[in-house]
Amino acid sequence: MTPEQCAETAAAIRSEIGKVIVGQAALVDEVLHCLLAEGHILLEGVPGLGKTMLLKTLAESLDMPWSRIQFTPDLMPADIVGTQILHQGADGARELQFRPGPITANLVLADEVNRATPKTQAAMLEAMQERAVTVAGETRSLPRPFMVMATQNPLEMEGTYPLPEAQLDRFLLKVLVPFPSADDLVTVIERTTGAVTASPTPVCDAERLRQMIALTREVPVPDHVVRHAVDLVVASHPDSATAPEAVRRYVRFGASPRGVQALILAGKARALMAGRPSVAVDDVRAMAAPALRHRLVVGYEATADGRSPDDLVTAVLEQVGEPRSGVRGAP
Amino acid sequence: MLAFLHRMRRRLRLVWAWATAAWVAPTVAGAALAVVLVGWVRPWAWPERAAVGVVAVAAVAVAAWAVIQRLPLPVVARAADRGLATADSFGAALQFADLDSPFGERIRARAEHLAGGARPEEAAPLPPEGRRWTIAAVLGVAALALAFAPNPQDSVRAEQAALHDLLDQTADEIDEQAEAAAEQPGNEALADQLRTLADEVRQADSLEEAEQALQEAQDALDASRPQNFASQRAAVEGLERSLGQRSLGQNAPSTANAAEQLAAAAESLPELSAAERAALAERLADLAETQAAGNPELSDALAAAAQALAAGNVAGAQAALGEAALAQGQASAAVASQLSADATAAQLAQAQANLQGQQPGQGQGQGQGQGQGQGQGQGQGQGQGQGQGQGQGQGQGQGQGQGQGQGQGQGQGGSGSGGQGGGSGASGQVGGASGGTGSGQGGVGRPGGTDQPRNDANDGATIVDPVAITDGEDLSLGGANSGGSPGQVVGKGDGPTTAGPARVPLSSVVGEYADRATASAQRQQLPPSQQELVGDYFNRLNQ
Repeated sequence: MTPEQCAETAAAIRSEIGKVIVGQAALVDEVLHCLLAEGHILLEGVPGLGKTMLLKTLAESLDMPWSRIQFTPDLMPADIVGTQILHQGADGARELQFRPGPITANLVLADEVNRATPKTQAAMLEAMQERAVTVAGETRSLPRPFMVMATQNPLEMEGTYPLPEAQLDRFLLKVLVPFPSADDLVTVIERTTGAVTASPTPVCDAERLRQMIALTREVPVPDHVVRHAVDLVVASHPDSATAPEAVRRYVRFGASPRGVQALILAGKARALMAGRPSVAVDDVRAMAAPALRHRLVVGYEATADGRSPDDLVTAVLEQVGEPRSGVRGAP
Repeated sequence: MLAFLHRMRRRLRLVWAWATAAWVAPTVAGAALAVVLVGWVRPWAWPERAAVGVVAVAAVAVAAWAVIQRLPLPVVARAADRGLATADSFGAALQFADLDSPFGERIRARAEHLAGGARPEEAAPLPPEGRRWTIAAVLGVAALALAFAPNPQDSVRAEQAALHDLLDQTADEIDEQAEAAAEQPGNEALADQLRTLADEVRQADSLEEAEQALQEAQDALDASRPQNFASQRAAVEGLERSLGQRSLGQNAPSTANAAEQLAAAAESLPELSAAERAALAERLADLAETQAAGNPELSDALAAAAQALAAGNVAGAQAALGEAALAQGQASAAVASQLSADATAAQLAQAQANLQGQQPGQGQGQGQGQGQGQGQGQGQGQGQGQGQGQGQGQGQGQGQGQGQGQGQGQGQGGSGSGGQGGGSGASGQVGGASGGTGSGQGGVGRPGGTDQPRNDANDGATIVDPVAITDGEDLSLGGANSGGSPGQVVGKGDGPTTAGPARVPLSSVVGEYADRATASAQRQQLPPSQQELVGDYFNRLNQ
């Protein structure tokens, strides 16, 4: 597969999603970035914004197995990873057979992931990290590509179990789902209240997606781009010399090294989707918010002062700045 | 792509120079303005030139650094990527120039494509920097206006420039004197002294300093003057003149100098007859007497030669004449050297006078004048007398403005039996800023000449022993308070003048008296014996 073919396929997926999802171009692109990077994505938004619809449409655009898990407090780990059941054969012999759970799919939609108990969350997050499940002492690899697309609702916090920072770190990107614009909302109403509902057509299979993911990892990254990504992450730590004042004041812990990995991988996907053969500084800076916002551990002062993680990421971007040539008067 | 990056690098140098110039321009213009302002409050000659220099140095430094500073290609590529918004295409192409993958090919192809239609001017436009340039322009215009506007310090600067020109001119003249002195044998030390003096004058910071250097040099020359120089000179020149008028013999032509004649006479002694030797002995004895005061060595040698000849000792006479020739030669050289030093001292005095005359006046000052008068008197009646007087006076003047005092006095000699000359002069030599007048009084020529008929004026003069008059004490020449003619004053006003007693120790003027007497005696074509009489008189005075 060539980079151009990869970009065309991504554009085709975007187009199929666009048949169902109105607007939200940036959101769709970030989901696709995560797909090409084979990372897990966490969508956060109030109910009714189409989070689940977006992930469902993405899954339908891809000709590959997918599953959906609606997280509830009584959901057990076995309900996700699968379990062994006693199976009696035709000859009457009984044996324990493994019945895979919904996690065993290429695409997993974890809806309202923060409603499950920590135990269940841990089981799924372990599968996300290891891309394998262990049941009854036997480890089984999950099919590749493997991508978890989770959603959570920030409003109804009662009865929820917020994901710990260590588990949030396993998501490549955390994307905030914005409220659609008025024009988009009109189109949404027209599409969803009529007699005919649009449905996407699969334009990519698992094999092709694997090739795209492999190609994404081959995208070259110039040294100064890597250096800039590192500088951003370093500046997110309050004890760093380059940290902005807001970070020093509101952040307790900065982004982990996974943050740099997320910046680079997402930047590669972004460059490839844009038809560019190498990652640019702009790619990294564009992915800074979705890649770092859930990796900053903020203190209560931030909440008290109404400073969101996005504000802090913006402060980091302003502090570090885009690398310049260093020649006076020149860009 | 590389060609584009090279063009981009040149463009970056220009952009850097422009931006840096804009950055430093307000500071440089402010510095230039400050320097020009200094020129308005201080009479320094360099502020305007320094202001131009500051601007020139800044411009040259910026331009030079723009040319020589190192701009690596990755830096250039980064600037191009940012300026053209090419998403790090040039930087990636430089780094992955050798990457063997589909991405490598595409990176290079993309960079080449982007470079094809790119222009460095678009990638790196000149930053406007309007505010900085405006500030610099305002400051620069102010500096130019102040530089070309009439400056109250201009007149002071012109005076300083004139002063330095004058000092240089004076130093050049002293150098010429040094070169002239160096050409004469035995004057090497004097030449070195003059060269040092010229350097001191040239490096003097003020007129007073230069005058002081000149005065010290004059004092040094005066101090080196022998006490009996007048008699020494009279003896040397008298012998030369005497032998010039009448040589020592046929083998000693009168065209030769005295030393040569003495040497020739020594050579020709064996050839002379007894009568000629006797005549020569008598002549040598007479000459010995004339040299006794001014050149004792020569006198002794001549006397010894005369005695040897009278005794028939030709060889002894030859030896003595040889010593006499040597003594005469040394004395001649010494006199010539001293005359050269005297001439130099006179020129230094003239240079000092020139400096004093050029000294600008300002404010209120005090001046000290020194007057010198010379008078000639003529006796009326049966005889005629001649006298010379010399006076020295001191005057003080105060004035304002520029002043130059000059006085000249003339005295009338007394009449009657004594030729008495009185001179009065006033010359205000003005030091400092004020013009002043000085008064001097001429000294009375003592003793006066006797009242003799005119046709006997040059005969029968009687010399009075000055030692006997003063009983061995130092003789002071008292002058009459006849001075007071005001100096010529250029300035705003005359200063008050006080007449001094002007009693001058004889020891300080006897040398000059002797010189003048010797010169006068020689001009009168007096016989050697009379000249010797005059010389003896002053020798006694000097003793």
